[in-house]
Amino acid sequence: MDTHLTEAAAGPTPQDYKSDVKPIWCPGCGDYSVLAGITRAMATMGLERHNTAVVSGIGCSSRIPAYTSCYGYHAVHGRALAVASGLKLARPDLAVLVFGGDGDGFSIGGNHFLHACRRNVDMTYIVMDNQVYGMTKGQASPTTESDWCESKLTPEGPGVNPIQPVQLALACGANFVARGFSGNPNEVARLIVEGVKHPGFSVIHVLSPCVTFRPEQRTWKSTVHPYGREPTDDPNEAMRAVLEDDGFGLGIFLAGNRRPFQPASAASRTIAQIEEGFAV
Amino acid sequence: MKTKVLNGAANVGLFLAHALELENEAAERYEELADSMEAHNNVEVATLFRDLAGYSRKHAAEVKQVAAEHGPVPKVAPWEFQWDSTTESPEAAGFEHAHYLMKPHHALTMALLSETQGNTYYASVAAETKDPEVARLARAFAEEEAQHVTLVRKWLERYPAPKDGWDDDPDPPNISD
Amino acid sequence: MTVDSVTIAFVGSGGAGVMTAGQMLLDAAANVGWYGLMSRSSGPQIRGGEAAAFVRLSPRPVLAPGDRFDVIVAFDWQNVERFAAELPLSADSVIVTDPAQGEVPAVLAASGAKQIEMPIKELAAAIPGGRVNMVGLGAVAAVIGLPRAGIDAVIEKALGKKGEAALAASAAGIDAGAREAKGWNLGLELPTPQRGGAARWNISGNEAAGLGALKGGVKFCAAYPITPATEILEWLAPNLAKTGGALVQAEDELASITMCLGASFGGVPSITATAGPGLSLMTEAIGLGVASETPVVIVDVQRGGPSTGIPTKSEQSDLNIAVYGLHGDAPHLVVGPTSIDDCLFTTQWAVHLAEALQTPAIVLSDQAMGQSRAVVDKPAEAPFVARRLLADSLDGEAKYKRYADTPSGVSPAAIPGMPGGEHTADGLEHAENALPSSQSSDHQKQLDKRLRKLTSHDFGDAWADIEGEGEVAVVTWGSSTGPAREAVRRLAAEGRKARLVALRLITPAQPAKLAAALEGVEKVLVVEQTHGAQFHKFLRAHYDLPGTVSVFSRPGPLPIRAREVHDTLASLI
Repeated sequence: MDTHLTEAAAGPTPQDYKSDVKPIWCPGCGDYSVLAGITRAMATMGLERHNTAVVSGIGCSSRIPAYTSCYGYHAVHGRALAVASGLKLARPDLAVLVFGGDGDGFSIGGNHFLHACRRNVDMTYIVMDNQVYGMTKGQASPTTESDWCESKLTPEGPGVNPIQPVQLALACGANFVARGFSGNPNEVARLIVEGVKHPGFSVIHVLSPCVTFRPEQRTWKSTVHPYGREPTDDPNEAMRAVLEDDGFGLGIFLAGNRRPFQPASAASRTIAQIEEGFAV
Repeated sequence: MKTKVLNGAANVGLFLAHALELENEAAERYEELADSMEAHNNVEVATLFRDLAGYSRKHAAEVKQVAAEHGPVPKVAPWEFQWDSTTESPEAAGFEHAHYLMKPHHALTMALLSETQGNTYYASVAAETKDPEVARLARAFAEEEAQHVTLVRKWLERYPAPKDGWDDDPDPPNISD
Repeated sequence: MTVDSVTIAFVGSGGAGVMTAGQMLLDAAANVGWYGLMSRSSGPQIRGGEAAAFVRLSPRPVLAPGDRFDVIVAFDWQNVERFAAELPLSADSVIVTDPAQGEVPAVLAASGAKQIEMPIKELAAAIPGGRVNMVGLGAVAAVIGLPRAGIDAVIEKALGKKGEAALAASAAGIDAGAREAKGWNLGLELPTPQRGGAARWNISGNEAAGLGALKGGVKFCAAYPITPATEILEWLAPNLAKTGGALVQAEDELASITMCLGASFGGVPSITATAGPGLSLMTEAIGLGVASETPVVIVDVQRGGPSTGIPTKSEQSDLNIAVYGLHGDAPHLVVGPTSIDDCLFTTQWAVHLAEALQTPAIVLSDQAMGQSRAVVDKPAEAPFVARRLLADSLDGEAKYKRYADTPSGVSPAAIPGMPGGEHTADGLEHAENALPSSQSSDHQKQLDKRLRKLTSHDFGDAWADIEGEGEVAVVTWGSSTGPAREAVRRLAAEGRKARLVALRLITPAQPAKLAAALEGVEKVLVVEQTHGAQFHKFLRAHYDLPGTVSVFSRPGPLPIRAREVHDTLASLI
């Protein structure tokens, strides 16, 4: 356990990764703790702020980039993973982290999630799941239970089964899949550090209660439990085990060894040579 | 409650690393809660959290002073700190207890829990450690936390629990982006 | 007898090889020193559909499709009525038809064109490995006086790898066609090309757009295939890789445009190409590019719309969505190449402008330019490259302001990797320091600066192609420029005066410049290929047009022909 206990250099602190902007999240929101986990992870890794880019779409958790002191891109709803993929592919020298919620990631951005998993670009996606659309006042999200009847939009409940993000990530080929809980930001920090260090696309599903629209999620504290298995590098084994999980198991499910996608880009021709091909 | 053998009990360096983390996290958390209350126009509680942060900063500075006298403190990853009964640093008030309409009573109740946990942590280390210097420091810090607990308790007497309905808000939640 | 230009169509259904015949005819003509233009029309089938290759050749640069076809070579008449309207004929035209394929369809025969029977299939069948398209090509080559050496070089290049037998079969087919045509005496020989002319290129509009992107400095492309834009992406894939850039295939157009924005946020000039349906999907993200001031170039190779429309055929009807399709007040660049080879310049210019003004640029090409191939004079070098204004002195005391309100409206950019420039680019309205703001003063200030970037920029002479003189002017854009330009030149050759103004820069509008270009004009003819006269309405919204204004507007897929513009202008003079 003491292997990581090294003598301190005057390294950065989590505070160094926070901007001056005060979060607008409801007090009590799980995202405050996730942000704490994120900045602790960044400090632990000693990421250079100017060489780190955080990308998001739209939603409560997608506000995170402006709350950090790194480069950020707060894009449009659902497209965070595509923006981040383009950025990382064009600038492989940067550390790229993506933040968002369950609606942004699995509904409007669902197709990008699917393809980000299979494309396996070397970046880390932290998706904060509160099973509700918060910014638009509490509608059912793709991870909401089918019989949740608190939304005016679906007064009888959404009536469809929720997406299981971890299963989906495994099915689509994500290379690193883990689940954390906002109530334990230090563990969230560990998962983020592991995810960033792991080559390829890392998905970290973080249960993060919405105290305003899903106050009953305050009980998640006693629902979550350690996943109880060692991480595997075999996606099939991970999937079999995850199918038995109740959705509240915390830990690393898969640390796979697929090669990240990164087109090579060494120039071999000048434009003048290329355009010679058009000469009659 | 049975406590496990704590990293922080192992030697003075690790103990001070834990103490620094505990005190800094406590102060920063109060600051963050104050910011959050300010963002939600709850000035009274914001001021209270700001005051609590001030006390914590003072205590953190004292610990820092002790640490500086001791020499370099080892760097510990966030998840490698061992707090006997809490997942986060024990004196960091829980974000999840906050509410935008919360009253000073609630804030002080949060503080009481935090300070009590801080006291418990130091007391546990003092009981567990085999290092006499760690035991001496832990006892001193536990004593200081006990004073904080007393102080907050006294403070809390001035703010009895509000009546039911303190969280009533006639307006529906806002729609943002 | 020789002619100034000759216009030929190969028609036939799948397996006949009409596109190959057209391509080889164009390439052979290029080899011997002529200029040319080949466009294409095809059905929706992946394979086996009815198809036609349209080729116009001339000793001088070809600006537009011919007014009518001089020669149609039909390998069969399957479903020809589906594009018969694209085959204008006159009594002077010649239809070469294979009697084994039945009678010439009435819709074409009604033109009174001369019919020549040639047993194409039988001639091809007599040659081991013979193909009908080679027989047709041989006949056409003989009709126009194309030196045999030009064709041999093309065959060698196209079929050399297939071995001697294939070469011999092709040569025999061409000989067979040429023997048949020998006695036709159609009087359609083109003059012998001049030797030692200018360097020439053989290029399609889509290739030219891809090359323009490279020359402008593009290093990243995210691609989702769509007709008729795919060739841009397919051309860029290997050539970006060769020049140190990268192309990635995206999962949809929502991803391709936002991947480009991500790459561009990283400081890497980026491009994507699409057609109308893809542009529709991209509009939200283009607005993000406007608001977050992230440059990006989108080439829209227009096709018939709305909805899926006519994917394989041309129209100019994406003008409205390109100009007005973004929600909010979202000033951005829209430019349109005025010819196949101008797809190079205009795309290169768009990359430059997008980067200089830190905003998206939409390049409106179309199927008629993109999928057509021309033999042209080698395009001149243009000085336009990507150069984004970057922040300096980021280490100072003052906190960096990404959206600083500068006199030009362009704010020095910081890109990841630059210490001290950390900020969050945002599609939320923001203050100068990039933090979200819903305050009226910040909204006003940012709207003003984003508009001012465009309105205060000097676009120089490239904003339009202008030529001619007189009191009558044709105002047009995009691929309608070719026939309009030819019409103005024909009028000049006839001693009649007309002006051409073809806008390359659609937005921001340049009212003072157009007013100067139309100084003294009393009659304006607007020419465009839309049903709703979109360009005319755009001009009415942004410009004061002098004198009386008339409109020649027709939807695709029928190309606008020089004769039509010529006659309309002539009626105004």
